[in-house]
Amino acid sequence: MTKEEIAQILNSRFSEKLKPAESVSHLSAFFVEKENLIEICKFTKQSDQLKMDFVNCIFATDRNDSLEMTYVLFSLEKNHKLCLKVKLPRKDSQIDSVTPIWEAANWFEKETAELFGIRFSGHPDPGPLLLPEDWNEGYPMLRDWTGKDFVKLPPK
Amino acid sequence: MGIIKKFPVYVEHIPGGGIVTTTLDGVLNYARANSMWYMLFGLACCAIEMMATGASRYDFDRFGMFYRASPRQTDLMFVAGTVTKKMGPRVKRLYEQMAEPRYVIAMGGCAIIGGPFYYDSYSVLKGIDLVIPVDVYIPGCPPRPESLMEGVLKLQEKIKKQKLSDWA
Repeated sequence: MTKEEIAQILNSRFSEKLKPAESVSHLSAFFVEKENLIEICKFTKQSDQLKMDFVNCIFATDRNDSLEMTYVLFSLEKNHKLCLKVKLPRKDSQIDSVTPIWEAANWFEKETAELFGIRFSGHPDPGPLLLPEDWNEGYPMLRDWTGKDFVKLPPK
Repeated sequence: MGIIKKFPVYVEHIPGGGIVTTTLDGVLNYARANSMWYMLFGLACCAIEMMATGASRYDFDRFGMFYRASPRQTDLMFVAGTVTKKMGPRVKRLYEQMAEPRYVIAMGGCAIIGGPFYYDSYSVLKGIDLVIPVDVYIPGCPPRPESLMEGVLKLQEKIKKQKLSDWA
């Protein structure tokens, strides 16, 4: 299914809940509100036309004024992709977990929570994943993060 | 007597006799320096170069060096690659499990000071010498097998200068 067809299906059902985002050539991307994320994700998985049965990746990006969650979904059967984005505040951000929908989201969300400080409510197994066990220096992937022996690259 | 002629200068041979005298230091250091068994242990791409050095083309065997899979049987540890902050305590634990006398070679820029991960990194340890003592540093990214062998020869020189009284 082409990205225009995917956009059409989503727009016909969630027209007021979607905002188009900048997208790369083969991938349609939408901004959604965090309240609607679970509803839209459930639809993309259960719909016979979309059948997004595979989570390619889930990650966050620090946009300086906000955090941006990105969900890249893929359908193994239909061979098409979709990208959903959610804007979150930089401090104390919280979002619903999509692990109950896709089991594979489990570790993606754990990693994002650990590195960006986003809380995923409804996650079955929250807790540290990658950082050292005694880590207490905050969330290292935030752009303004500094740690004990962190050395910033000097400007050229 | 062929082997005795090749033995280091601190061996004195008695003319015409089958007896040699030497110091305990000399014999121990000679044995230690020429049978450094190293740990089968690599952390990143430097380990590939270490494997190449251990294989037949560069041939570590000629220095009496063989890899062992257990720290209890090894004398030498190559810290070959990037040491993360999470891996640091594990490396230290392996080091502590080695039997004395034990030696460490820090191989490559990452193990020496963090290498390309010195700046802007939250996860990489800035040098393995913050965790365990290092005998020889071998720079390079990664060092070629020739550099690695040079480092081993330097370590052999160091071992041959040891005094038994230092260990007491």
